[in-house]
Amino acid sequence: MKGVIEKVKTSLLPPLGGGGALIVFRFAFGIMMFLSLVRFAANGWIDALYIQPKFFFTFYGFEWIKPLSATGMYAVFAIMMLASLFVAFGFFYRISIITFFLLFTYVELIDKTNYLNHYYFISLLSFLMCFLPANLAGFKNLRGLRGFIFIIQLQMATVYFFAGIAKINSDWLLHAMPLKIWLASKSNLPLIGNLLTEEWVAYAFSWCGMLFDVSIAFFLFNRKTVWYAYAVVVVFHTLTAILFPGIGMFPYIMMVCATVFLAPLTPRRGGGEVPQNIWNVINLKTALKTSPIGGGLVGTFFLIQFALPFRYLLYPENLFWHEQGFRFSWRVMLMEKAGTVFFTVRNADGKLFEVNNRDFLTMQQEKQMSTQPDMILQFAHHLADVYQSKEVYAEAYVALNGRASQLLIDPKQNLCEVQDGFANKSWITSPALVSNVQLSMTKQFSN
Amino acid sequence: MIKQLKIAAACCIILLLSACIKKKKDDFNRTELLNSMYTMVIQPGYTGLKDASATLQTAANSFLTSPDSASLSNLKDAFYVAYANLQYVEALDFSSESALRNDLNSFPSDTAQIDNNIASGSYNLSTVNNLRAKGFPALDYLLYGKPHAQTISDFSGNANRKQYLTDVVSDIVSKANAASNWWNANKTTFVNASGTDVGSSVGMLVNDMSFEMERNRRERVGTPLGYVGLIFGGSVAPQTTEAYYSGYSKEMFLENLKGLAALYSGAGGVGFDDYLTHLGADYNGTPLANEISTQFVKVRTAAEQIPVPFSQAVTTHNAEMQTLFLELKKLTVLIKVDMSSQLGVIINYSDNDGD
Repeated sequence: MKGVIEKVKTSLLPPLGGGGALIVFRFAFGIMMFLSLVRFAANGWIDALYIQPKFFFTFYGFEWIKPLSATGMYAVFAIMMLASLFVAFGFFYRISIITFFLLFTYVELIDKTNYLNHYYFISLLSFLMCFLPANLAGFKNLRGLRGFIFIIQLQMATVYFFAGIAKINSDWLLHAMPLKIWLASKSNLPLIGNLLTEEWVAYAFSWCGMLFDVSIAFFLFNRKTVWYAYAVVVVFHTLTAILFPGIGMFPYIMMVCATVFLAPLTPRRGGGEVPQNIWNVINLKTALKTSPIGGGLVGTFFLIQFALPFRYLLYPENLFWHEQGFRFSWRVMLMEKAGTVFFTVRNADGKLFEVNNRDFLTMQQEKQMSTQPDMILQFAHHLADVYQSKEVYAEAYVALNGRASQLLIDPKQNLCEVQDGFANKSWITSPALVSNVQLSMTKQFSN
Repeated sequence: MIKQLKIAAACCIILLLSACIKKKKDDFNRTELLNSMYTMVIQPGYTGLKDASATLQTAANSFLTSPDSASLSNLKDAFYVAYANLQYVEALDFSSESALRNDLNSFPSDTAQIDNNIASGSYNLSTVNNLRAKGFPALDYLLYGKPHAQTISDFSGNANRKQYLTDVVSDIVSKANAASNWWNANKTTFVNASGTDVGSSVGMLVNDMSFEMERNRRERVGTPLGYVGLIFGGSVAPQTTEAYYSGYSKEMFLENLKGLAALYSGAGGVGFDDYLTHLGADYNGTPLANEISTQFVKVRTAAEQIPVPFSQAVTTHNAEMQTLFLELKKLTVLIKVDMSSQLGVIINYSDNDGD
């Protein structure tokens, strides 16, 4: 009987010590992506996000990325779905994963309205997977294989660790914001609902969340704690999925991808030298000797990722307010930020009038734009084009993490006169500026 | 390491248990808010509209049977009451049946389209190109477009005109009935959707209030002032005023504001002001709930201080109209940004992933 079970097991589950660990990961990733794409399509989001909008907020430097026609966009998603299934089953693996990576990244670059950290994560992960020998079941060189698994683990660890670092700020730790607002809004949940309105619960969640994010990767890397840590990962993400259904597939993707830490270091069968500790695997000297180019590329890839979250230090004032250097930094769930923007354009006759944003933007686009200065600038330039105007002003009111709403940018700044770029946007208000510019629309209109 | 994790886990469990045992504090219950909102504002509001529409129909029928000065005055009164009742619930946009803003109040009216429809005698009021040729804006034109005596004689001999009035009123009655019925049938659904996510009742109410506040600022005040939209290119546009022919723009505006204030304060029941107070929402050192209530009063006062219809006021009382526009803008920001943010409600009607 025992023998039969063992046989069934080995036929269903590949020998994990060999290429099996990668096969399991590849399969889980492919299926997860397929399901995510099906959900995306079923929600009508292909149409809502890539076909309905008349204007798209491109990323700086990627203005040349344009959406295709409706048929084209549906085709892109259909190909992505197919590619993710091919990846799952190892069918034309290399070409499939490259196709998936390129198309997914293309779609994400179309409109920054839709930027989500976990989409960025998927782009990075699928990029790495382009180089993985994930189609080789009988991979014999265990040392090399460990290296590949480690790369995926390191990518996971990067997400957790930097998400944790980002939570070390006064709003999150000292004011339990924005969780205080968000948890209280979930008071209708069964069992825990009443608890969520308690202030101390918001503090407990904030601190636990920060500690979890900062430390979990270390416990996952440690062979002694990996199973406990994975259990905590499951509990943590299940809780976030229940509390914040709005974050979509993210918890599930993380739960599935974190299984890569469970890959055993001892092969079930097959030989090879078995490293007992992860640090034996990433012997930099050996890695560079075996593949100097590959090692260098992977090193650069991660160095860039480690540096990006700190680029905000190059800008003055509050990152959450101006959001310069906010994206691509694993800053998740950090802000309850809402806003509204009134755009005023001077037409050819010299008359000022207010534009209806919804004539040009979808509700989702308007919502995202209203709190992000770079998007406000992009839209202002678009309005200037549409109305052949040389004067566009934006009066933007934003509330951040429970504070009263205030002007986000200088409403007297003609946005036609400024260009987007990496330089500090001095027209974004700082606390000092706010008191000086209390705009009177009456005054502006009587100009 | 494992030991430490175990200890941490044990602590968490103890913490959770102790929290469960702890007596509940003065919990604010969103179900209660919704229940109260339904009983105190929504249900009476839609019933009021339904009844006023029925009265309007009776008045229209007696006017058409014997068109004279008294019956026209009676119809005009019924028009005022029904229109005011619509204003009170206009913000609510929960379903195609219950949303009346577009069907019954797309202003300014398309008078050319109305005249054509009457002349030809063939039209379908449910098509998009007749959106501005029906509802209360059409009645406003039909009843007040000409002087009192002229209106009576216009209707006296004209079968097409009589039929058009009948059809417009019937349309109003059927829409008002359908909306009232929809709410009667959906009370439980409304009260039970007590979350704050997109599609929840609280989410919908906050979105609807924000949208209507924007409509007040933009369409009822900003467009006539020439501030909003390109059509009139920054020039005063009195003809875009709501209730342009009857001159009831201010009255209708105030009724609309009353409806919004009722949705905010719960009209004597539980309202968003109580909700904000419960959450301890702060606005630069004062309670946000008070700030919003005060701003409602400021808007009302600004409107009340305008002695003439908005269509005249844009030229004769421009400064007062500008004040109204600014006060409305402040109220819009308070509702759409501050209140929604403190409640954790997203200003969007469709769901999207976030992170």
